[in-house]
Amino acid sequence: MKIIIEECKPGEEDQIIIRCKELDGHILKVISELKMGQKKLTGIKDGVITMVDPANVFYFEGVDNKVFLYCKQNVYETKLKLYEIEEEYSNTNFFRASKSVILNVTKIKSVSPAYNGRFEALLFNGEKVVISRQYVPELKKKLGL
Amino acid sequence: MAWLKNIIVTFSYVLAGSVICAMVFIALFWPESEEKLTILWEVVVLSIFGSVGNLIFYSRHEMSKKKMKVRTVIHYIYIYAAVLSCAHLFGWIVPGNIRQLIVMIIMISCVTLSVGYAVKKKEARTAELINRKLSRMNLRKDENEENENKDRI
Repeated sequence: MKIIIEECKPGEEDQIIIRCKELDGHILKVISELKMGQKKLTGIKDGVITMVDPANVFYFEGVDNKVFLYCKQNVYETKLKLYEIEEEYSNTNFFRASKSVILNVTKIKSVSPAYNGRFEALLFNGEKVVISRQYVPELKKKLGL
Repeated sequence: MAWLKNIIVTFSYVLAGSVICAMVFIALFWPESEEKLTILWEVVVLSIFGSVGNLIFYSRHEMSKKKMKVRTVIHYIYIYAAVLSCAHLFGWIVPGNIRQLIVMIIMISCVTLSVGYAVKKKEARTAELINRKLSRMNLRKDENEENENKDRI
């Protein structure tokens, strides 16, 4: 990958332009790292606060006014609201999969059509997550389709 | 606006199916008739009724599989009721003519199944497209991880 750094004019806002043939996993990772930087999430499990790298989060789920983040094996509670996560991680690998779930696109192994326009995403940890009909275009957009 | 797009897509499918069915039905039961343009408008009205039935599936809250199944049954009942009411209103079937009624029910089933099949096919194509992209993406991710590991060594 070629990296070109150009100096911008005084007063001009710094910007990063990515020119690629297609938005593949590598580019998504670069964008995600740029966007997320060193940002960490705080997860609570059994009263213990743990710092979680957002790249390790499979999905966020809102259940009974609580938000949980699901990693490969562990589940943590987070004090962030789903809409805050959605805002914070827009333009990263995360996308809204349903009203209660925000999913990491890099953790999806495959998808299959489910009931009535919904899709079911099989994740790399073996879990299955439903993608609502109205959020399928968002997934396609994330994948550059 | 996804719901509107969905209704428009369904409308086009139902319209195509209804036109074919109307042609078959006229050829079977009204071969001598010289239908005017009104039949086309009647078919359009019927297709609108058929497609707005999709609103049954919309909800502000996430629906369970069971709720979806219940709504599917309601949707089928709605489709049959709407089409048979239109057929009666537009005078396509003579009241008391069981043969016409049976053929009409068969045709509704054919259009419903065809639309269902077309939608399923479209969903399968979408899933295939997404999976292809995902596997390319994951392959690239694996290669990068492999390279990173090599660099570390």
